[in-house]
Amino acid sequence: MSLAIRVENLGKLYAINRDGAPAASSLREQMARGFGRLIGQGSPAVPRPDERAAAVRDKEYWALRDISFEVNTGERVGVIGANGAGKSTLLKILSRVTAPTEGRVEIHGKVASLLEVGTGFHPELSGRENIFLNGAILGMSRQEIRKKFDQIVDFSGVEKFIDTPVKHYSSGMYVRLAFSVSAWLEPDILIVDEVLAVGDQAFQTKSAARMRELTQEGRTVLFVSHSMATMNQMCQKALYLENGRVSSFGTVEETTIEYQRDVIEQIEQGPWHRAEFTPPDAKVTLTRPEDSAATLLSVRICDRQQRTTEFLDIAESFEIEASYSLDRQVPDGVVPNLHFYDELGGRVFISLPAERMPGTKGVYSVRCTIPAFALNVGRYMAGFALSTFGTETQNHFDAQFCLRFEMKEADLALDLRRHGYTGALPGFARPRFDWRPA
Amino acid sequence: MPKDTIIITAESQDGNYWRDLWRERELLAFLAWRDLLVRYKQTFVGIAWTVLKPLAVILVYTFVFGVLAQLPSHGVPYTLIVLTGLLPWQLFSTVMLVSSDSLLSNAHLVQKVYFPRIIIPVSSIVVCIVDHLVSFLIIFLMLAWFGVAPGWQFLLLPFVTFLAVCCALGLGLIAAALNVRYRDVRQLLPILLQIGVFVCPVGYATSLVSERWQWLYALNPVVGIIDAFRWCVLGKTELIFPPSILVSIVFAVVSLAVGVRVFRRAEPSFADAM
Repeated sequence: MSLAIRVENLGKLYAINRDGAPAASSLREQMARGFGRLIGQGSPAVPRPDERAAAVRDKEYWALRDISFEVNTGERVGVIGANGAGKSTLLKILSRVTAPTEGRVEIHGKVASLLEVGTGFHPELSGRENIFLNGAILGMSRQEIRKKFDQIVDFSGVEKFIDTPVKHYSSGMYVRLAFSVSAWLEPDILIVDEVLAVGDQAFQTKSAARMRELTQEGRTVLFVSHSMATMNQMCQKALYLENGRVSSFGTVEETTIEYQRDVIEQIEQGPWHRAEFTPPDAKVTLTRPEDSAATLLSVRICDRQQRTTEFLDIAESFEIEASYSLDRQVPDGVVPNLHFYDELGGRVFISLPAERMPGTKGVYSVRCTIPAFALNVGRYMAGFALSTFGTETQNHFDAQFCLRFEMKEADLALDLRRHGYTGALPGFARPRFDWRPA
Repeated sequence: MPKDTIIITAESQDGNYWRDLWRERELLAFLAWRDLLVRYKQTFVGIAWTVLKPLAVILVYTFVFGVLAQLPSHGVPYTLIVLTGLLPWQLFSTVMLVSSDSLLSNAHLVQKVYFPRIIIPVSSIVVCIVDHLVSFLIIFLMLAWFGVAPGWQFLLLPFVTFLAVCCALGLGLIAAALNVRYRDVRQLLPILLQIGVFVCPVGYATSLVSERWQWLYALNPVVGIIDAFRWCVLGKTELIFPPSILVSIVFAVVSLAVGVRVFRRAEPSFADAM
């Protein structure tokens, strides 16, 4: 397999000035410094050179340091990490937008980088003109653009307005056209910074499909995304950056799991699980608008035997019990709702009761029974909220992620549907649907 | 298929700059085309402005320098003195202004895509050159109005245009690179150019300067540009100081060489400094 990208000890140092941004300094400032140097240490307004150097050092930081990795031709590598971990800086260096401070990068092949869609789009120009302009900026030749023009227009779905200045486009049309130009690039190496989530649902599906098509034509791809699902779908390997350094580099499955662990750990300092929540609790965000009519008293999770616990068996049902007080009359009544999330905060499902709860003042308790096998093995979070769905939706309170629990499979042999298989059965639910020989 | 290899280090991130520049020549054309389209789409009167603006200035200067101050014109209608001063001056000053501002006005490109950055200032001046060519209409109109027939030197005008562009672009490249780091340049340059109108022989002929000082005066490269232009259109050597043209030619070469060097040196830091 041939090498596409080799990165060795790459580092990027940013100097930040007083405003906290590496913005341009003014000439006056520079002249003041030069003048200060001329008159020496006499002036107290101008710090001495060594002081100044120290101050400058404080304001420097390594956005990337000691980054080394290799990507073979045809490999699709995802870059993950928290905000500020250096993902974008890395892509910028690889796309030669900015220069590294140290280290070396070797790239074999024609590179196209999509750090955003619609770079260079001009509002006064028509869709047609912008396709040519943007294409040229992205490195396509005029012939190439002409050849792909119809495909681009067709993909974007803005044929009717192709000769209208894009300033008259809706924002949806604008990004669709912008993405479409990028979608027909054909480089050896594609560098993409989270530009997929544009347009409506239908267009997103279409563009994700096109992106997959692009990445599967033997192209080397470097891809930044915050969506682990997209990452797992599109990439084989992942590079996990943490504070400007490589935390791990391996298969996408291993690396994303490692990243997710770290994310959870950061969210939650201390034990992860929480079977009971009684406000106030500094660890739980309880949103409650000022005109709220209700107060949350407690939420807890318990097993079939009514024991409060954060460890549950998937083969048994369990309950979530919540109590709240209505502090004033709510004519429309109230509807309690339970929100289930995976351990990263991705929504699994929402559960609402069939009947609304009365709106008269008083203290109430509600119970929701979650049947066996509704949730699969894994860590979950639950939130409890109370709403009134009248002419307008009002949330009286919302305790997001207030419960954190773990579903376990106590005895693999108990589940006859495993038929002796002991491996993982992934997914959020393991519903027991009807099967029969047909 | 032979593959390109790019090596990026702190010292160089461009593989082969001039080869890349050649490859991206279409981009240069596209950016210039964009500027032209935008310029002539936005304004209602479009091209007419390109003619009307200098025309208005010419009338005012003719009144101030020719009628009020009664400066000498060696028998040439004073309007023509102003015309042949203003057009090259406008070319020079707009090329310098536009190119020095081009990086900042295209900051979104610089921060998102790689290509040899020199494409930006170079493509930005195409609009100025086209404007200049359009304003030739005024020359033809005025020469016809005053019944002056241009001589063979008129054919040398493209060289003068080229000379003016080279001088201004060299300075513009330096200003552009400085402008990224020191935004003050953006404020300073228009002021300098404002003063330049009077320092340079825009509203008067070079011959107005006493002979003792003419050599010193000619060190200003714009003097040579305007003199060359005047001579090409009016063909009168008594209005100009011929050696100044030589100074301008030397200046064009030097300023371009220095400009490209300064620009190239500052280039890697553009994206970070914006």
